[in-house]
This record gives sequence, structure tokens and C-alpha cells, in this order.
Amino acid sequence: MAELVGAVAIAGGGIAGIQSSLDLADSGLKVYLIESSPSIGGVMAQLDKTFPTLDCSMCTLSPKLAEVARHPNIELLPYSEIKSISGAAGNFDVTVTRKATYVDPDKCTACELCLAKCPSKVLDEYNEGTSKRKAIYLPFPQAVPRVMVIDAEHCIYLTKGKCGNCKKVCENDAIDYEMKDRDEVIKVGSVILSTGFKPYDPTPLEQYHYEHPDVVTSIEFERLLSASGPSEGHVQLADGTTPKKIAWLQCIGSRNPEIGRPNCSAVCCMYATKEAMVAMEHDNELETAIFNIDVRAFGKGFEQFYQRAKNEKEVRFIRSRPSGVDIDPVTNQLSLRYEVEGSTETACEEFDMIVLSIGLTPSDSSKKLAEIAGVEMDEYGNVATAIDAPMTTSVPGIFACGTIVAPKDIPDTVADASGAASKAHSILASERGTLVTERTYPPEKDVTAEEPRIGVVVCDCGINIASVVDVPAVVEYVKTLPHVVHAYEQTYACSTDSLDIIKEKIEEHDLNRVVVASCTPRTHEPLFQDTCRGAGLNPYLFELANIREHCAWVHQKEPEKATEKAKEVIRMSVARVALLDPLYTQKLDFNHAGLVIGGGVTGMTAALDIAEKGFTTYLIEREHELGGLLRTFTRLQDGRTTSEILDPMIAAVKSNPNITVHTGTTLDEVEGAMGSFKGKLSNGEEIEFGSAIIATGANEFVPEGYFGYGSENVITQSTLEVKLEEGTVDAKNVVMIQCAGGRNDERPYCSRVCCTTAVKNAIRLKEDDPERNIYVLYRDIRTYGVWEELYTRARELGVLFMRYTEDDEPIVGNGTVTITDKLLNDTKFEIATDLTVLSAPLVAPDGVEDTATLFKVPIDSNKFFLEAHIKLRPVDFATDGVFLAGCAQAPKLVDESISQASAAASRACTILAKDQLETSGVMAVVDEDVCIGCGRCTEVCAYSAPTLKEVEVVTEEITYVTRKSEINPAICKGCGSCAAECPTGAITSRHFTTKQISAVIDAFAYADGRIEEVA
Amino acid sequence: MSELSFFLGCIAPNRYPGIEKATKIVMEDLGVHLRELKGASCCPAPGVFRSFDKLTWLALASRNVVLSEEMGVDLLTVCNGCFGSLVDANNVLKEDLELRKEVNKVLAEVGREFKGTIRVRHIMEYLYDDVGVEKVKESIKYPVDLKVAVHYGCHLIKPSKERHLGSIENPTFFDELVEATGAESVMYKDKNACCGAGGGVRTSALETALKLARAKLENAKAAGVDCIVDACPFCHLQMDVGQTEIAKKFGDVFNMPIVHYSQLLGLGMGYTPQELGIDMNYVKNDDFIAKIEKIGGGK
Amino acid sequence: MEAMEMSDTIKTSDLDKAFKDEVMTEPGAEKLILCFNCTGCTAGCTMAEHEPNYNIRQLLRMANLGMRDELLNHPYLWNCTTCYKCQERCPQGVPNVDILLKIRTMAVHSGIMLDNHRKVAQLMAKTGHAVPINDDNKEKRKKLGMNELPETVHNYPDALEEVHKIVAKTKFDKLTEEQS
Repeated sequence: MAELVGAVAIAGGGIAGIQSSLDLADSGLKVYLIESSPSIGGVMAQLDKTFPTLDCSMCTLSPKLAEVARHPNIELLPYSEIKSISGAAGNFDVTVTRKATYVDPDKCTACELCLAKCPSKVLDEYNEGTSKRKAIYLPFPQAVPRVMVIDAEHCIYLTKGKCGNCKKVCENDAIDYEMKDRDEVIKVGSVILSTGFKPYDPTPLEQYHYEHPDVVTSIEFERLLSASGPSEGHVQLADGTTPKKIAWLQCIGSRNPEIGRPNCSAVCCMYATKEAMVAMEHDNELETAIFNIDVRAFGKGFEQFYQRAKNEKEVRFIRSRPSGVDIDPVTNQLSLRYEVEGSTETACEEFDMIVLSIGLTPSDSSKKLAEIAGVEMDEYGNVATAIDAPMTTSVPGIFACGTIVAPKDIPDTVADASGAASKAHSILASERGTLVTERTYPPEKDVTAEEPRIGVVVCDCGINIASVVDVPAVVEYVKTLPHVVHAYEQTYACSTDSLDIIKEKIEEHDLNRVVVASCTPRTHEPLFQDTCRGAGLNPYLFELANIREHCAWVHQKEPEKATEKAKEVIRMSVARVALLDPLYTQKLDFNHAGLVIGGGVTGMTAALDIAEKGFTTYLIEREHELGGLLRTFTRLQDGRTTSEILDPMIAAVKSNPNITVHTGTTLDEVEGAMGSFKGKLSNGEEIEFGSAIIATGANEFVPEGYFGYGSENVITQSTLEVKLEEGTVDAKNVVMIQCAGGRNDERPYCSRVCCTTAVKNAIRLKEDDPERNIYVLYRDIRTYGVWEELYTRARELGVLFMRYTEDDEPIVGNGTVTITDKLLNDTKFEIATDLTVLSAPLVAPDGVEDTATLFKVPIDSNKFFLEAHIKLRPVDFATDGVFLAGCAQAPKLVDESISQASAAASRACTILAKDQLETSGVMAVVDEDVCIGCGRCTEVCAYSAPTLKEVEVVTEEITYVTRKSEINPAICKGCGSCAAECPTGAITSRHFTTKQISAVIDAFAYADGRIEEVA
Repeated sequence: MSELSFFLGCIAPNRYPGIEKATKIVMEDLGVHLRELKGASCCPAPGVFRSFDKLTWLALASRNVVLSEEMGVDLLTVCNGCFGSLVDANNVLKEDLELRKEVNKVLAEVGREFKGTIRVRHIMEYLYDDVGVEKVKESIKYPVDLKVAVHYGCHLIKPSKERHLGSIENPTFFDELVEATGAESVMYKDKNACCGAGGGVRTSALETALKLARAKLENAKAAGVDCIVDACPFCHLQMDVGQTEIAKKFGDVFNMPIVHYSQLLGLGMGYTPQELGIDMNYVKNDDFIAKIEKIGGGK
Repeated sequence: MEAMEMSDTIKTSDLDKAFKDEVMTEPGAEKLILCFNCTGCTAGCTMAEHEPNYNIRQLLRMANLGMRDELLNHPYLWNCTTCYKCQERCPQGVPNVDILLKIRTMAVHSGIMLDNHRKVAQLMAKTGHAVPINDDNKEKRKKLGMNELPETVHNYPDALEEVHKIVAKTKFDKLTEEQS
């Protein structure tokens, strides 16, 4: 029996691989993150903005890239591919081919001098071939690792033996033409496949004329919109002029069985809407039109986003998807002919640019990797998984997540990724901490009694800073500032040898404060802080002055002013660093139990996942039975009964020694915070736990007042499911009405599951009796992703579909439903019906507000819990230690709930798996003598860190009980909001004290660097 | 020497005999011997007769094919419509044995039987695949210095599943054969559009059909061509006779010469417009005739 | 669609599923029910550009719903030139033209036929050619040095007789004769 290995190999460094890596690394497992391109980031790095919030994609992604880069438990293997996998779950040998980059990563600082001198130009993959890069290149500005790579195929030296410019100009001798590909074998306990997708190439669909320069794919359009793209964010036609009218054509390469791509790609309706909105933001005279078959805005916030685009921004949604693009060969003018809904006619319009909304297809790496791993694929070229095990492949120990499994958006991918991490973690729970290395540092110098002795390194950053700022002049100036005992220029402060020099200088000059004037603290502060620690200096006695992003890069055209500004910026940092105090993190013991509220399929999955990792878990369910919503619905989309997955799950939960189940019970009181929650159950029992998962689910809305609900023969889908299971449906004529009580003013969201549920049940009705007449009346058919196959199956069986609009709803009469069919020129049909089934939305259950209050977490206007970040943190709350999953977050299908449940468990276990909680040094502290217990700090803190505790004050004259604020160091983020709000000044925001901030302001004002000492 | 039976159809022999003659002489010059397909009937026109009765269409079409089967040679047609009719019937009866039985019951009435032994060819795809563009080029004695609008028509290339002639959105084989004669194939708007004649529309709704033809003529004219080149006598008639009808109904006058490929090829081989029957078009364009007379060195 | 008044409400109980089933007996036509109304066929249709009342998607939808009478009597049923553009581009592989031709034959078989179509059918049944030779063209043939009559049924009465036998056997002559 081979030993378990406490490491995981992750193939694919897109957002999925990144999320899995971070979860596992944070849980004490070693991670090898393997990425075939030179940088991690994947497709998300190419996007401009993300729907539905229009966040900048790179802004939300690059912090994660930086986190991966500096995580001590993650080993990044860029420009590498998996060659073979052998072994079994718990103990795999993975052979990885490390492709030769011809650049030594330890020496390269990405100063880009080589890039300027390289004569070989290549089509840039990052910009989808719309611009050129060099043979030696960084894939994109925020690339991780930030190391140049030589593309051997296009390098003149490597192919012809000529040139060699890059080697000549490199000042760090980083170029190594002799480098070879080499194989490395890594030992891991589990493998996660997350190699993503490839955008569909529309060339075979000749009718769309992709060869025309102004017919572009959606991903090319992202690059056009992007400030780092080929035209710096100016959307322009091939001839450089500005387009006035842009059209998007949906479902290109999706929903097309004729070309072997029958599935829906799930994301295109939303990304097209987003692209149109953003393009109109860039140019408010732009006209946009999205030509669609159905508008699939099914996720959280999507329907509202779509309505906003339509009603506020006037994006035209045209319900006709042209089969081709017309070009006038004389003028090269693009035009589209389309059917006008509600008539027999067609209309023709000219457009300046046409964007093809291309679908998601399996990537080449995915196919290769699946073969190497031996995992089963489905007929669409995706890794095959099951609804109740959505991250599990056919090979034990190998998991898959993200779009390699099915087309899906970023939040679902991130949840999937955390879910896959949970699965891998479960196998290797016993090996936590075995392969991770703790770093050791020399003992810390005590500098409290000393005068500040400041050392300043002013970085050239190659030419990035030095080409604008006169660095030598700045160094001379800095030497004149108070307390500065040593200042020098460095070409690249962050290179390994420069860091060694900093350590030497600290020793040589007995420095007790360090300022590095270079780039952004976001990426580099931890690096320099670590360096200080390595020289025995407290890491909080360090300041990073940003003279690159804040100076050289934004004032490139004004070098003299930039130099003056650099001096001011450094002067301010010097003033601050002189007043910084050494700060210390704390390691706290905490409670390692997990709590799950909600015993449906989501809650049970979460509980099992946590328990599998060895932690005590409490599962609280207010009904007397476990099972939740799946007790009401009887079949899954794959035809299995829900009890087929529920029963084993309930049995597993009840028999797991780590899980304590409380049914018929609610959680009534909670106090404390992450690591130290104390709860009181309705049965009087008290429990303690370190983290909580809210999985309170949803209920089917009772559509009273809609479509005749309440009269006999008008039922909802859940009732239909029960009747189908009982065999008591004898209706010959069935009508289903979609969006019954949803997508309206009262419930403006899309409930995501109803179209799939409707076609699933329509199929059951037809299979039960093929003679039945079934009509499904819809506004959009939202059978997204792989569920498109159910819609096709329903049509194959003869189910008929008719479309209505929200301002002309079907009317339910006595044995009839009347509809104006938009698909047949507004013909009215009176449909004979024996049974009318309403697809009602899922709604939040009663009592969510109470749960929200218990944990001080927010709910949105539809009473679904509000996650920390809709794209990258779908199962987290802003409040530390509390997570959410399943329909509590938003309506979703069973496999999506299970994925989120595992994700929440993984996230919770990144806390529970730690030996102790380490606090930050930067936090707020309360001087109890000054605190008057007003509680304003508790109101402004977004993280619920301060609480008011009862304190007995004993003075000479009197003893009394009062309240004082106490800030939990485990969750305080050091943002300073409480300190700013505190009326008495009782709260000190460490590392950002009033004194320190005032000094900075004064330093800005006084050119001689004078620091006004405040008593 | 290659041998094929020559299926005439209706419109070539009975309305544009120049096409029949041109085909015979150019194919002979290319070393392809065409044998008369004696007693052949209407193909029958697919859009018309398939709209009325499928069995009748299959029976008459397969009878024409059987005549060629009995001669032991493949069948050649110079008309998209005939090609559509005969090749579709031939394919369907080769594969669907039930249908073949039913059709053979009808053919038995006239003592014939469909066996599925021959191929149905269209002059354009035959020249491209079997003769080759190079050989056609070599046969040109006098480069045809004309700008032409190539009209593929519909049934030559569609339905594509039965044709295997490459791209239907952007086909090139006809253009290549035209350029082999020395003519220049000029791009024009909606090059792939239907002429409007087929499907029984010219017969039952002439004015509507003419609207499609008119659009074609307008677009070709806007591209500045000397003539339109087709490979289908029905498109040929629709665009030639059609112009006289369009002039009467709508008032538009195009003076656009319509030339069948066999006639274009004939010009390049040195035959006169009169020998090829190009001067017999309903639209009289003396300038054009004068121009193409010069091609052969003014014989 | 001038055949139908928009204020007419159609009762589904009047629809004819058997009609749809009959249409779908045409090989390939079983895909009719896969149509998901992407509108690509009508959007690309050359005839639709010139005749705004003609809408192939809606005609096929009527077949799918079983609207027998409306469809067989539809004035624009005869507008399709069978160019096959729609059939080529359909993402679901619905053979639009083949289905439309099937529906047309069903119309003809229930006695619905346009006069001009009847005439050309009779002409073909009688002469063996939909477009028979005339004097003008006999002259043209002579001028070109060809025989007056082409080597078709025009020149072989026995062959023409075969055509007559065939159209009698398939009852085509009855099908297309004058209606009283």
C-alpha cells in the first residue's frame, strides 16, 4: 500500500487552477501548479470587464496571480506540460515536461530591454492575433511569473544561428540559448484537471465571413475594448476609424448539431450584453444590437443586468439570428438581414462591425490531458462527471473543474475549483502540513530604544523608472532627509541579488528602517518585508514608496516634474517610516469544528466534505427530515430519482462519526467570530465552532394570483413531479407556463432552473404517453450549457413551444390557455388543456433575515444571501469564517449546489486546517481607559471585528460595569474605519496612527522634510 | 477517348440551341465524345414536378438515367435544373431500395429497369474534375478578354450533401474555369443569389420571379461586367428573356448579354458568336457581339 | 400571410397532428420538429427579400403545429424557388426545401393546384417536354446547322409513348387534369 503524498498537481493555471491552488495551499497541502503557457491567468486575463458588475477583469484577477506567486506552498511550473501520470489515488507520479524558455528565471527581472531589441515579430496570442509581439516576450504586462520567455519557433538565433540581440543587451546575463526541455517527475497524492476551453474558430462557418477585417470574434473584441489591447481600448475598425453601429451574432458554434456543437455555451448571451454595454460606455453615440435566439441571462444578477442593458442603455435585443453576414463587394459594407418578430417580413440593416459570439469548445490541452490521465470524456469532448459528483472523474484521485467539464461562467468555475480542491483535500487530509516548509528567520533586533536609522533604495526598474525620473538626483536629495543614513540607486531592487544587497546594507549600516522606492506594494511589499525579516529586522519597519505606477508611468511626458514628485513621494515615506513601530502577528488557538445550517443536498454535501477532512461538524436542519428541496422534486435531469442520490447521502451523514445531526432544530443565538463562535440551539444545547456554512436553500414560490393558480388543474412543477412519481397524471393535454411569478417587478430575477425542469418533465410526460399534447409557453428558453440537450430531446418527442412577451401574457381559462404566439406572426392560439403546470421561481425561505442577523451577513433585495464578490468569491462572505452555498446564494441546479457545497467546505477548511490562526500585525486596538462603549466602531466595521463586551471597572471610588469595545485580532483587517469613527480617539489603527499620517502630510507640505514631533 | 451521353433537357434544345451546339463542339475539341441520348424527355424540371408528385418525378427522371445506363456511359447535362433532377433521383434510387422497387414497377410498364450503374455529370464539374483547368487552358486559342459575372446558380452546388463540390458559400471552380478562358471573373453583390426561376415560381408568379432576376442584373451591372456567364439554360432564359419582361413590367433596361459557359469556352477556342448562337439571345446587344467577334481574330 | 386574419384565434383542438406526421414521412423530414426558431432560414431567404409576405420558417411552423388547411391553401406556399440556401444553413439540419416540396405534393393531391402549374404539367404529360419546341426555334436550329428537332422525345414517338405510359401509371395525368 503506497504512502499518501500530501501534494496535489493542478494542470491549468487559469482562474480555476488558481483557485484550487490557493485553497489547497492555504490548507497546508503542497501544490504544483502546471501551466502550458508562459504565464498563469488563462482566458480571464484576456477579458476586459466581467458581467454583471462590469468589474475590470485584470484588476480582480491580478491580486490572485500575485498571491499564487508568493505563496510558500505553491510551486509554479510555467511553460510546462504533463507528459504522463502513473500510480493511483493518494500516490501518483506525474512526469512534467519543463519546456525550455531560454531565460534564467532567477536572473531575469523583466526589465524588457531585450524586447526592444528583438527583431522577430509574431502574431500575439494574448491579443488573439490582432497585434504582434516579439519572439522574446512577456505574454501580458501582469504576467506571473514575470520572466521573459523565448518562443523558439520564431527566434532567429535558435532557428538560424543569427541575431542574439537579447543576450547582448541583457544586463543580468539571463539569456541561455543552451537551455533544453527537461522532464521532471513530481510525486503527488491527487491531480486536478483545469485546462479550460478554446474559443470556437468560426472560419468553417463561411457564411459569417470571418475573413472580413471588421467581422471579429467576441474574444478579439475583448482585446479591442481593453486598455492593454492592440488599440489601447479604442474600439476601431480595421481602417482605424470609429464604428458607429456594432452587431453581435449569438450562438456561433453553439446550439448547432450540424457542425457537431449541439450544446449551449452558457456565457455568450451575458458576455455579449456586457461587451455592448462597455462599448457604449466608451462611446455614447455607439448603437448596438444583439441578434439572438433566446437571451440566456440565468445567473445571479444576470436578468437585472439584461433588463438594464435593454431599458436603460438601449442595447437592442433582436429576436432573430441571421444565418449569415452580407457584404457589398464594391463598398465592403457589412449588413445583416433578419426576421422582424410579429410579422412575416425581414429587414436589412448595415453595420460597421459584427462581433461573432463564439462558443466554448474543449481545448487541445484538455483532450491530450484527458487521454494521458485516462479519464472518460462525454460526447461533447468534455470530461465526464455526474450530477451528484460534478468534480469527480472516472479515475479515482483525479478531479476536474471549470470549463473542461462544461461551459460555465467565472463564479461557477471558481466554485467548481474550490470544490475540486475539497475533493483532493479529503483524500489527503491526513497528510496536511507534511510537505510544506516553514521558513526560518534570524532572531529579531530590538530597535525600540534607537533613533531611526533609515536606508533608502531608489530603484531604476531597468528603464521603467529611470527613463523618466532622474534617479541619481533623487538619491542625492534623499541623502539630505532627516534620519536617512544610507541611500543608493539599484537597477532592479527586486532581483535576488539586489535583495541580498539590501540585507548586507542593513547589517553594514546598522539600519533599523528601510524604504524601497520602486513599484507597487500590492505585488512587492511582502517580498521586501520578507527580506527585512531575513536581516533580523521587524517587517513592519518597512515602507514601499511607489515611484513607478504613481510617478514614472503616469508622467512619462514630464520627466522634470516626475523627478520632483518622486522626491516628494520618498520624502513622505521617509517621514512615515521613521515613526513606524515594530508590530507582531499573534498565533491564536481556535475551535476547529464546522457548522452547517441547512440539511438539504447542499448542507449535507458540505458537512460530509468537512467531516472527511477530520473535523467535527454540526449539521442543523429545521425540518424533521433531511433532504430539503430535493424531497419535493423527484427526478434529476439525467433521469435518476432524487432519492437515488439523497438516500445514500442521508445515510452517509447519519453514519459519519464526525457529524452530529440536529433535525427539527434551529440555531437561535450566535456570538463570537471566526475561530470562536458560540451558538445556542433551539433545543437548549450549546455548541462551539470555528466556521459556519449557510445552506438554507430555497422553496418553490406558491404562485397565487398567477395564471389561475389555485383552481383545479393548475399546479406547479413540484406538484407535477410528485404526481409523475405516483403515476397519477392522466391529462392528455398539458400546458406549461414559464416565468410564472418570476422575471417581474416583485421578483425581478431569473430562477435559473425552471426551463430545465420544464423540459425534463415534458420529456417524462411524453415518454409516459407519447400521444399527449404538450405545449410549453415561454419568454426565453434558458436550458443553458449541456442542458440544451434536454430541450432538443423535448422537441424530438414532439413537445411544442410557443413564445409570449411579458406585456401579453397567456390567459388561463376553463380548460384552455390562450396565447399570442410571437413565433407565428402573433397568431392567437387557444390551447386545449387538462392540466396547466406553472414553472414558478425559487424564492428564499422564511427566516433568512434571522440567519443573516445571527452571523451579521447581508442579504440582497431578493432575500438571497450576498456573497463577498460575485465573480471571484461566490461562496465567501465579507465576514471571515462564514460561507454560503447552494440556493441560499441563488437558485441553481443540483450539480451546481453540490459544487458550491464542496467549495464552501474547502473554503471553511482553509481556516479549520490551520494549527493556529495568525493575526496580522496591522490592526486596530482599543485603549479601554478612553473607550466610552458607544458602539460606533461596531457599526462601521465591514468585518464585524469589534464587539462590545461587558467590563467591570474598578476605581478607587467606585466599581461599575460598563461596555468596552474589543477588537478581535483574528478578523480585524486594519482598515482603520473604526479608528476614524471613534469619537474619543480610543482606537489606534496600528501602522496607520494619527501621528504617522500627520507626519506624511507634513512631509508633503514641508520641503525640508521636517517632522513635527507630536507629544 | 472519354464518352458520355448528352442529356439535352428542354430549354437548351428548344429555346437556346446555341448552347446545345456549343457544348457538342467544345467537348469534342477537348477529347470528350458526346453520344446522343435518344428519346430523352424533360428531366423533369425538379422544382415544378417534385412539387406535384414525387413518384412521377422519380419515374421520369430515372427513365432518362436508364437510357444512359443502357448505353453503358455516364450522363452529361449542361443545365443546373436537369442536373438537380437527375443527380438527386440517381442518388436516392441508388440508396433507397424500397423506393427503387416502387419506381421500377412503373418503369416496368415501358420495359425498363433502373440499376444504378452510372453517374450523372454536369459540364462544369466534369470539366473541373475529369478534364482539368489546365487542359481547358491549353485548349484556348484566343484569350477571351471579357469581364464577366459568374452565376453558379443553385442546383449545381446545392444540396451540398449530395454534390461534394466543395464550399457552397464561396465556391471557386466555376470561376477558375472561366478564368482559364482568359476572362476575368468579377466579384458582384449577392453573387450566390438565386435567379428566381426555379421551384415553379417563374411559371406561376412571373412578376415575383423577375424581381429576383432584376436584383441579379442590377448587381452585375453595378460591378461593370461585359456579360453574365451561367451554366444553366433556365437561369439563362430567366436572365435573357427575363430582361425583355422586366423592361415591360418595371421599365428597367439592362442590355446585359447572357452567355452559357459552353459558349464562352467556344469563343476562346476560336468559334464565332454566330456559330455558338450567342447572337440569338433575346436581348440584342450589338456592341457586345462586335466585341466578341474580335476575339477569334475577326474570322 | 393574407390567408389568415390575425383576429382569428386557432383552437388547438382543430389542429391536425396527423398532418404533421404525414409531412414527416418524407425522408429527412423527421427533423422538422427540431426547429427552434432561430429564424436563420427566413433571414437568409432570397425570396423573402423581394416578397415580404413569404416566410419559410412560419410555413414550416404551421406544418409543425398541424395547421393543415391554412398551409395547403396558403397563397405563398408556391413562392419558394427551391434554391436550398435555407436548408444548407439550418443548424438543426431541417431540410426546409424537401419538406416544402412534400407539402406542395400534399396540396396537389388534395386538388389544390395553381392554373399555370396545371397547364405546364399537362403540356409535359402530353409532349414529354415542359418547354416544347416551337417554329421560331426550329428555325434557329436550322440556322445553326442542326436538325430541326432535337434527339429527344420530339424525334422518337415511341419514346413519347413511354412517357405517356408512365404518367398514366403514376396517375399523374389524372392528378393534373382540369378541375370542373
